[in-house]
Amino acid sequence: MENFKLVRDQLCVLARSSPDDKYLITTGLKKLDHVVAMTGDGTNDAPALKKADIGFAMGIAGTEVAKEASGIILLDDNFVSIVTAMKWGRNIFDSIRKFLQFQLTVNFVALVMAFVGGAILRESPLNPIQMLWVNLIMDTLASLALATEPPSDELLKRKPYSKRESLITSQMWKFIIFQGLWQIAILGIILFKGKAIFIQDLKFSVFPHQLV
Amino acid sequence: MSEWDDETGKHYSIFFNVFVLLQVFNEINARKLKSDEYNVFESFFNNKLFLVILVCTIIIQLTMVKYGGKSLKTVELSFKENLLCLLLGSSSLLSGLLLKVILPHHLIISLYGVELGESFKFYWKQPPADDEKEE
Repeated sequence: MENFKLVRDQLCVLARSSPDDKYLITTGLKKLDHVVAMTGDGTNDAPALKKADIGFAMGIAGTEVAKEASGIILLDDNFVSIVTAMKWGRNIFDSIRKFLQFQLTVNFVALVMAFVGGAILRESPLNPIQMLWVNLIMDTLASLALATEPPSDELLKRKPYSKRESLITSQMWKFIIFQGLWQIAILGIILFKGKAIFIQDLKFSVFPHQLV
Repeated sequence: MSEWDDETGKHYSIFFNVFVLLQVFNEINARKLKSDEYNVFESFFNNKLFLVILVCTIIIQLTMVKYGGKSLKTVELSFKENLLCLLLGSSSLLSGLLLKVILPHHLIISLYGVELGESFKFYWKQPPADDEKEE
């Protein structure tokens, strides 16, 4: 293991690696908390493919055993597909983060407003049907919108995330909290001073709308 | 709700409208998460579905407020008031940009962050000295 630590910084390309080498590298890197992908086609590559976080097996040249042990099968035996897989994988991860940030902000604001309204005005300013519209339909559409973002090549330039990377980053927490506070401020002003602000409009406007 | 007349109805309609529109514009904010990505509109027109959903949500929202009636406890808003709501709603875009500019990078807020087992924490990270920077 000590030797491996010495080697891995210099190690870049390992030509004609035997299945044993593959297994050794996978085990070593995994011990050092790296995320490991391994490619292979032969039957004896199977342990390394299984051990790695994600195994890529060859679809055409690969044996059945290797395919069985791997996570992803490259149907066209083309290594470029790995880059594509990586790009889309990172994109999915980012999309989840985007949606989480959006959704948490919505719920944070809605929760606080419902609580403040309930505590001070004795009624929630948002009634159940409105909440349903926001939470069921609008958020579903928003998740659809944020999740269909096509991946960009920028994604390939950044460093890989560590295994312990938290799903909601510090930046996202900051954004959720302060964006939430901003929205709460605006909505709070509308809720408590709204009548004073909008009532002048009311007096001068004609209201044809009759309540049934 | 206790008494629901035109006045309270209007008040709450505006509240509801602004609330939803704030979220809709915040949706655009969510496209870029990193603190150095100031332009949230980058490659905005690449994703047609995003635009369609954005426009549809706004249209459905305004229609809902207009025709919601008793079930939604909303009343019809004038064009001017709708415009005001849109304006207030889009302020979440502005605040999103402002937050990215003014919020300090060294403030760390995390829930079960980098090290497993850490609970909610809230602290200032010392900026790393030049020779200690990682790789």
